[in-house]
Amino acid sequence: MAILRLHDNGQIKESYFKEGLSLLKILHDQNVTISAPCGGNGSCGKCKVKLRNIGLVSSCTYYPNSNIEVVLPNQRESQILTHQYLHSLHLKPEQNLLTKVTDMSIGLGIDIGTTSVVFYWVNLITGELIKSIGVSNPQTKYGADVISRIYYCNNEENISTLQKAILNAINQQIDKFVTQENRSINDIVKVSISANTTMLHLLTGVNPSSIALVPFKAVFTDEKQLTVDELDIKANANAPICLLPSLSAYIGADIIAGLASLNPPEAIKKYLFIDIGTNGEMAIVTNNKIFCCAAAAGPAFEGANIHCGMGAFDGAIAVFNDDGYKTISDDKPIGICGSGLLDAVAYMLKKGIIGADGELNENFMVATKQASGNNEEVVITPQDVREVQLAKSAIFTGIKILMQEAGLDCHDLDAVYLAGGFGNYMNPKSAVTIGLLPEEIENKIITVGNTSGTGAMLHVLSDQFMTHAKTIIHKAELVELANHPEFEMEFAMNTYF
Amino acid sequence: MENLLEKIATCIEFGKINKAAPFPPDMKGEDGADELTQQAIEKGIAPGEILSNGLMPGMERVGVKFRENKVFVPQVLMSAKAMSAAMLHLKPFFATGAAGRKGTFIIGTVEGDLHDIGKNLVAMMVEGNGYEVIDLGTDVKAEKFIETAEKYPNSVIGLSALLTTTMANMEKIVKSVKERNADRKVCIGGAPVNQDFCDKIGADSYNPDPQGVVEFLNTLAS
Ligand code: B12
Ligand code: FES
Repeated sequence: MAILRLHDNGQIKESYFKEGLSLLKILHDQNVTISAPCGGNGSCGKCKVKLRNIGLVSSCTYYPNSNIEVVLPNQRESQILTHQYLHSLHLKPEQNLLTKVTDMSIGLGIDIGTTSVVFYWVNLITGELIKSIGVSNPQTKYGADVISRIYYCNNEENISTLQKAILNAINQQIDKFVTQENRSINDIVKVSISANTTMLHLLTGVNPSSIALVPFKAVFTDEKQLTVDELDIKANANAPICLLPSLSAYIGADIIAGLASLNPPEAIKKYLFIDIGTNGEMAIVTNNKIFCCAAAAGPAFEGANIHCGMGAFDGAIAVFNDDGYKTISDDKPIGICGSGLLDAVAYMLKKGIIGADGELNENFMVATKQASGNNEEVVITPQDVREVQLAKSAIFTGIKILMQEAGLDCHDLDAVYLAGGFGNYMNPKSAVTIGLLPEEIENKIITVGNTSGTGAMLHVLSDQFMTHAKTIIHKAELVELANHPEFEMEFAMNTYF
Repeated sequence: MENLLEKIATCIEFGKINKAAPFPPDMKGEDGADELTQQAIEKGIAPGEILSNGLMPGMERVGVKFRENKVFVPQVLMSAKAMSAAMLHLKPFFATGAAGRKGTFIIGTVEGDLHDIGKNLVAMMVEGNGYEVIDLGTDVKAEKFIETAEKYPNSVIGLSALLTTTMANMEKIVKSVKERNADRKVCIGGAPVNQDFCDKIGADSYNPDPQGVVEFLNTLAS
């Protein structure tokens, strides 16, 4: 046994560890959240931590065999998007058997995202939102994206570890709520959950492996209604726990609920709904059909695989233009997050620092060593530009192919709804400049935030929401990009700016 | 003759497929790899000569530029298309043994995975460097690799994987191949793969880009 000295936000904790384990595993066992986007195979470099007297090491491939001292950066919680109201469906609260017996009925809507989990506490009598709160998904430390997390599920024990992690996080919030609001567990009479297909598998402890291998099929996609005995969530013993339905392995309940939560005005008949994230889910809604696909953009816009990339934490450069940069919380810059990266690449294009082919000769300086918060310069490398090209092309090509399938052209679209955190914070102008989104739609963009959460909240209010969700599924048609004959050529050509 | 072969090399390097092709814009209206190869054959230049002094230098130049991050996927894809257009004229000669190739390379995306853009680039680049390439496509099982390799003595196997989850299958395939024939060379690649992983699973070579595979194959062939 050797000793680990952990410096965390001004505190020092000591513990023992067994030699032979990776530092990543040792820190996870100490409940330190270190993100491991590549699942700990040493390829992403995002799990670096600072060792006193040694410097930065990739924790997943570092196996300490004597006493060590780890200094963690001071980090505050990143901003989590909670809900949206724009063009949203409205449902009246609906009484169920339980709401009739208790006069303090509370419903809980949960949106389990791959990186964050949002809770919506709703008064079921008045329909009011009591409060909403977002926390990070505790499973993140076992892999940042769904595939890495599925990779971690190679045995029953690990599946159960992931299930327990999410259930604990949910129950912790429930405990916190009842204490703070002076309520009882019995008051919670309905729980509705929206999430992507993999998160729903992990929540219910179902092996998700088939989602990540050809032919990429989910074990279940239908909605589920469980009891608190079947799924260990603290609520009234008779409370239904409802999982919203998914369409497929990569078009999850989050997207279905998001689509169902929208109620566009009369004039908006045909529209694109898109969540620009790692899996790039999108749908084109027409009168009688909804064409969907997942465009697999990758995590570049979340800062992974980018040399100075980071999530939207304090100190991340989130805006970049002629006036310089702006960071989250106005801290000194320590890296760049997706929206900043998009701006920086758009800036380089406008200034002719890179051309349409994306060739960059030397690192582009965003913040100098002197200005930065960690004494390291923040730069965009030639390889970063390549990563942006792949990610933006995946999204753009996805949109183009969906349009083709739907027989539409950009001019036919009445609106483009951007869902999700990245869509909310990015500058649409930069997105158009780099060709992440087609030029023609710039003026039709409406950011709608966390629509999956809105869907969970609407279902808590009324079971009627399920009818809306099912109508979406009924009209949906999955477009398989992998089988598309033109994908390869289109994708390659769309990497041009 | 020199001049014609150099022109072919330029077409391959910049991805000029044929006269009608609009790409690259600054070569619009000029003869492409297709026409020039036809002319070279008509002039009686040996197909082997066209391959080694026209196609191969062109392909090598893109390969190196790609490795140095100077060009990207679309340019390489266009070069590959130009090469295919040229190969169409040359293939009939090779099939009859009129010109030898440096060796045989069997490539496929491993079981469970269907990403093939990177694998296709590697296949085309290797072919353009004078090897016979047998592309088994995507979602390929160990047995298929072994079965095909046994038909071609001294062939080298190339495995591609783009998913963290299918890296495990890569490991399985390398193991089966080596169990069957410990001397069979296997090279691996794909975005999540790295040298550590290669060492761990006992593959013979890892390369982050196609040019690396070509160099590996060249050292084996020489
Ligand atoms: C294009 C793409 C697709 C296309 C694939 C089209 C095709 N025919 O290949 C489509 C859209 C169909 C697709 C689907 C999926 N994808 Co995809 N896809 C990508 C994307 C955007 C680019 C991959 C690519 O082609 N790169 C360009 C090529 C040239 O690079 P490359 O493959 O790495 O190859 C180079 C080297 O690696 C090397 N190399 C490659 N093979 C070999 C072999 C040898 C022997 C050697 C030496 C070298 C070598 O040489 C090549 C040239 O330099 C990446 C994300 C990204 N930004 O990278 C995700 C990505 C690979 N996909 C991913 C996933 C998960 C999927 C899906 C399973 C789920 C999804 N929707 O997200 C689905 C499959 C489901 C389904 N039903 O289709 C993930 C993998 C995550 C992980 N941790 O493993 C990524 C990283 C995106 C993400 N979501 O995070 N995808
Ligand atoms: S390099 Fe360690 S988790 Fe990716």
